[in-house]
Amino acid sequence: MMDTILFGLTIGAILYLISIGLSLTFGTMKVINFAHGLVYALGVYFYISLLPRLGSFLPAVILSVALVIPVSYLIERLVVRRLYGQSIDYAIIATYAVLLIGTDAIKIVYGAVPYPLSAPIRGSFSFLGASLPIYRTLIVAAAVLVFLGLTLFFKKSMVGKVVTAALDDQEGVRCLGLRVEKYFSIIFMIGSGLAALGGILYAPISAAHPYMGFYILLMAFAVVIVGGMGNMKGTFIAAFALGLLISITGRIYSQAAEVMVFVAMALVLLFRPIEDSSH
Amino acid sequence: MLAIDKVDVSYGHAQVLHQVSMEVRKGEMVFVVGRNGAGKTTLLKTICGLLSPGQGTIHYQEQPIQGLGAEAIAQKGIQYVAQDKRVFQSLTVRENLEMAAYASGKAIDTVLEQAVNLYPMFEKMMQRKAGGLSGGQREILLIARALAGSPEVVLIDEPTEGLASIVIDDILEMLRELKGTVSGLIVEQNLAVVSRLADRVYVMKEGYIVNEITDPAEISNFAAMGQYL
Repeated sequence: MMDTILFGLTIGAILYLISIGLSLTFGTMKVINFAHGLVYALGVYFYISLLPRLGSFLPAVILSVALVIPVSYLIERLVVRRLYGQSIDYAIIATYAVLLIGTDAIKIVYGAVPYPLSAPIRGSFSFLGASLPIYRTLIVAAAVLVFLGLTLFFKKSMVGKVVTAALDDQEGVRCLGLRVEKYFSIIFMIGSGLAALGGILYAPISAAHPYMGFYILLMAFAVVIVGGMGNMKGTFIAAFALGLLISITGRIYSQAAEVMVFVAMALVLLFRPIEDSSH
Repeated sequence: MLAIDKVDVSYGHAQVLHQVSMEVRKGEMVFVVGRNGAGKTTLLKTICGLLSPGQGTIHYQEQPIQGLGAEAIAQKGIQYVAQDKRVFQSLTVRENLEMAAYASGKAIDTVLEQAVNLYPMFEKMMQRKAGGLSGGQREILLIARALAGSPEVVLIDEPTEGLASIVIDDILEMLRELKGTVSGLIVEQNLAVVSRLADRVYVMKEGYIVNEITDPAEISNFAAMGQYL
């Protein structure tokens, strides 16, 4: 059972890293950003390119995430920023187009064949009678650290406070004289960097392929809806809850594992109105 | 100081303001009265840059500001306090004021001191979440936030709406202290407040300015002004 729980927590950790950017983008900018799936995949492919050159896991991860930041800046500046205040349909169409174009670009450069990666840290440790892989445990720890770091960032930094204020009352922030777009842009890049990190951490226990962003995006949207759009704590709890739901359902009846995520999402949509700025 | 000239504003095809002209002179406290739907809030939102006029001009210190964003207008010295008493509820009282200090480039200590001078009870409330404040305290916090950057003009939308009379007295006192130090354009339906503070009153009806009351005797007779609501 412990290995099932750890598997669920690992999925939850990855879902959290990907969902938090989506959640903040929607909470602040009211933009549904399908291009998030692209930066998730792009981070992995940058990692695939850099790992052989750098020869070491951590520098390759850091540089890959760093390379995703300017790409996400361009997506925000050239596409997403033009969609502020527009109908949500335009955002879906435009960012989905970015995802399609980016995915095809990855296919052109790397090909469409899945690329297997091995876990950078092998081995396991014993806990409550179960043998738990160290790498998966580190993924969970990384997600918890990111959550704590983001919580601290939003509580202590001025950028974080401005964004928190904008989640409450965007017009109020603007009327004080602050250009919210500048702060949203920073949040967009942080969210994109975390999605790339999630992709890189997950790829060794799944596989890299150009369409990997499409699949995970649906799961991430489910997390955002269950956790509450723009709700940082809710996203964290929802990601781990849904990760555990996948793994426990998978243990009982594997075919239903991922379906349960969308069942949970449907239940939330049925019984709770969507909040756009809750904390 | 602030001159609005023949301003039209529409929401889609529905025109809400028609040829609105008015002015606010330095240090003046000007009130706008009128029934719900008269266009008072639209007027303030247009001046502060949340809405753009279809036609007409808005000049602030002789410079045109119509069409500028809310951020730019705030930086020029016009602060807007919205009607909905919507503070940054996830932040503390101190952080709300900190936000205003950051936006205006003022030292946080100066802004906190200024806020406590305005409303001494804030001293004990600094670490409280602003979302937990009463309606009156929220309004006072919003006014304190708007004043943090020492603006030249404050636009305040219905500051006493929905508040208990004891809180209205606090707000009245606060606005009275501001008289002469900052220019105000205030939308208000409580004519008792208007009669005690106004230097001039504009009456709005269905998107038009239908009257301008300048006679102090007429302004102080709020019972007579009731005909405009």
